[in-house]
Amino acid sequence: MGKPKVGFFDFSSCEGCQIELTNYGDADFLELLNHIEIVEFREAMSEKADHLDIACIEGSFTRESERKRLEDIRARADVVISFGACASTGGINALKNHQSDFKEYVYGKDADSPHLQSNLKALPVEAAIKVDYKVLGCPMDKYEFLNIVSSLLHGKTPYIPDYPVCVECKRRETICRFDLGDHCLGMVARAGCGAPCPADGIPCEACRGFVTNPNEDSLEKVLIDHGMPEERARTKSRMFTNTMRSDA
Amino acid sequence: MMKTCFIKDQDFPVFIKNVIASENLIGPIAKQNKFVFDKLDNPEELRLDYDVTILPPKKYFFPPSQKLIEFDGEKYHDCIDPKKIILFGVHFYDIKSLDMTDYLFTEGKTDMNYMANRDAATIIGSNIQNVSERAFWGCIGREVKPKGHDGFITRLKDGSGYVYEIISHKGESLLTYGIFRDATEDEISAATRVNEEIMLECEARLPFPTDQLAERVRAEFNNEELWNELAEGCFSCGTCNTVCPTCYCFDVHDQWNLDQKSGSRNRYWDACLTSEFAKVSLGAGSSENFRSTRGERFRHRIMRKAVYLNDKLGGPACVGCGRCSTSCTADIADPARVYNKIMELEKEAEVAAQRSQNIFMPKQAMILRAHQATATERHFTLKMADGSSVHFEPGQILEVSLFGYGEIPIGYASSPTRTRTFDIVVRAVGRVSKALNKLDVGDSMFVRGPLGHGFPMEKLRSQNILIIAGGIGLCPTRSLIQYIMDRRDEFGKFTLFYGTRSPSERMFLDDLIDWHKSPDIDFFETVDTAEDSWDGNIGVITTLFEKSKLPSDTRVIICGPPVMYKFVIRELDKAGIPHDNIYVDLERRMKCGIGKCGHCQINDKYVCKDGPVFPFSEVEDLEEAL
Repeated sequence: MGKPKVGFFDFSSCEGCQIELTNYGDADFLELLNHIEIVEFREAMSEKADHLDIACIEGSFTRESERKRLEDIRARADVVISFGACASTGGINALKNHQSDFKEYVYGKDADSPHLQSNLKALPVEAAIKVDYKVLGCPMDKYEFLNIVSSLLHGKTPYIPDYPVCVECKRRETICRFDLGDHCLGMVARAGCGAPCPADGIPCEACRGFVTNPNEDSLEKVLIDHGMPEERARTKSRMFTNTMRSDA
Repeated sequence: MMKTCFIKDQDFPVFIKNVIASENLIGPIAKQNKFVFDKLDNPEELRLDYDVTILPPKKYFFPPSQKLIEFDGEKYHDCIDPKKIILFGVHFYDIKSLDMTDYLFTEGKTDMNYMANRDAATIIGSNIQNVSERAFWGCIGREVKPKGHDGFITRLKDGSGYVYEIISHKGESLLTYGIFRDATEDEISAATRVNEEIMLECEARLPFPTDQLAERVRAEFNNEELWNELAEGCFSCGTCNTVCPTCYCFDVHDQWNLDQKSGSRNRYWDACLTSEFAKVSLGAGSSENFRSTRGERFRHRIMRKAVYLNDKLGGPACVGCGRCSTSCTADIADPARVYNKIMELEKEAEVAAQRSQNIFMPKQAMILRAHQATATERHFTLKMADGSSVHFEPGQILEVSLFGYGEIPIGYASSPTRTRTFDIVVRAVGRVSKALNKLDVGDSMFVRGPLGHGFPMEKLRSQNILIIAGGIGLCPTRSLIQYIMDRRDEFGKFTLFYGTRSPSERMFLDDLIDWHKSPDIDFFETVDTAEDSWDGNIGVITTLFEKSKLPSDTRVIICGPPVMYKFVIRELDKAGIPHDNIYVDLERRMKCGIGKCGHCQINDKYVCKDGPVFPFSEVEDLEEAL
């Protein structure tokens, strides 16, 4: 068998996850290219392939017109990976999902321009097509992506942890943000990133989404107990998990 | 090996500096507002005043992620590569926990991925200078002693220096790095005091004897409501496991390197509180989770800490470091709170059980023997009609009744050591007692008890005892006399004074003959007045004091008519007996027997509930007592 053909596609997103791919460093990226063949990558090339072994889709599904494009990719690809937070959970784009005035708020007098029309909700790619694997995070974690690609190359189901970020903070003996008078969402956020943010003094914002059974009630209580106003505590996790919350 | 040295405070930094220069020295250092074990680069970093570190020292032997095997195509090799370290400043609770993980990693098949690191380490303990807020090492697992370390250093309170107890050759080898001399006896005992005193600092967090803990926690296993309530705020984040010094569960994953040919098999700390810990895949996307609820996972951790491993470890697998409580964001992990809650459940259950009983309901007792002891006193031997045995202390009372007549308080007149029966003596003086005295073998009476507090057996044991009984006062004291005669070895010199108004009022005649003959008891008797046929002592009971020499440490029990007490105590004062060592058995009208009806109240005390036996020192100043 030749090298698997991989394509990258972008929808509503900043394309930062594709940029992150180039951050392995030259040697590592070239090593990766020894094992896969990139056949579509708008950031770097203009070709289009008939068949893909792996399609990596970045960005959320925000317009009905995107459904057809997604279905086309699905039809051509053996494996579909949602690539990064927007594609996997709706990401930051889903912040509009509970609001009605987002267009006016963002675009002001241009709000009614035809090219700005979109669905009321930003949804993960899996809302339109079947997704086989998810690379989580904002941006996606490049090592996790490598791990998933490695697993697929060897015909093995990739392992993605389903425990909270706290596990990874404790493994590296990071001081808990709450012990420093800050807040954090690490207790409900899905790990796998290695918890770099709290180690750098930034609270976890759950960019990889929730674990499977997040204790949302307890989160709200803990945030309030640590001094956050009630309304803010209730809505705090919306930034990256708006499609996963119990009020979605 | 055991040798104890001393190093002066001013020489200590140089000692540490020398160790750093030649060895890989790990110790507690500050990390923002917390402490961690880390490699020391200079002596100033060492913070022996730390309270607790975020992670326990297990991370040096069982790292958070550890390569087990490296592979390259068909070739593979293990990754055991221990680094020699000196782990300095380990508190005793962490020493205990390392000894536990040592056992658990070597039990059955030895895991050299852990043990090689452990063998390469020198562990030096240090005394606790500051107590972490949530610590409870002063009260949990006191039966498990710290061991497995190589030395222990204690900073003396006066700041003069450190006492260094050498336990192994590894510990001894550190002496070359500093100016040590042999510790003096005073220094050694000062160090012992430092380590003993700190234990009192957090002993109050578990205010109950911990030997019942495992059994009590185990008994709540099926109390689903309890575990779900305890775990309600749980994030399943596993922090309580990850920071625990005795948690050692792990998961293993293989990973390929970028070349897609080589890679490694790695183990990672895992946590049984996380939701997928006990999940098994059944194929075709379905799975079974053997601990699917937060309550089940929470329970598993508590069982594992307080119950499951106790037989192997000699005590709970919890050393009381308090790390789980400090680190739990939802603040639900604190084992001390859980243990206390469970112990309170028992109290609540007791209260509920008591509430379900009607305190006025008596039980039927059958008369096995009845004997007219004197003209007015009848001696009964009874047995419970339902065959149940009776458990009471000498000196306690019971309420005895006949329906239609009423209820009266009477003391037990036999020892609880003897049989499944018990004796009482009823003096026919009132409506109830007269009716009771007409009963005979085969008849029934109805009893409630035991009630109140009897003679303080713990305080009497191994002491010299004098019992002074006047008239019918011999009945309740007969219970104690029999008890002492049955367990004679447990008591010192035993003397009995017995006085009655006349020979015809003497009771338990067979007993009196036995006691006169027995070498186990110095028995003196008197009557106030008598016919010529009486050849014993005549005179009030205080005349007996001339006949027996009384050691001043004697414990004295007095039971008799109220008039007797004043004169007897005057004699005891002469003999120098402290009032704390005198016990009086008070008589009052005790109607309910449970401290409610008010008839027997003396100031704030109820004779039926707080007595009838009181230390004399407790009642001598109560105006109405005597």
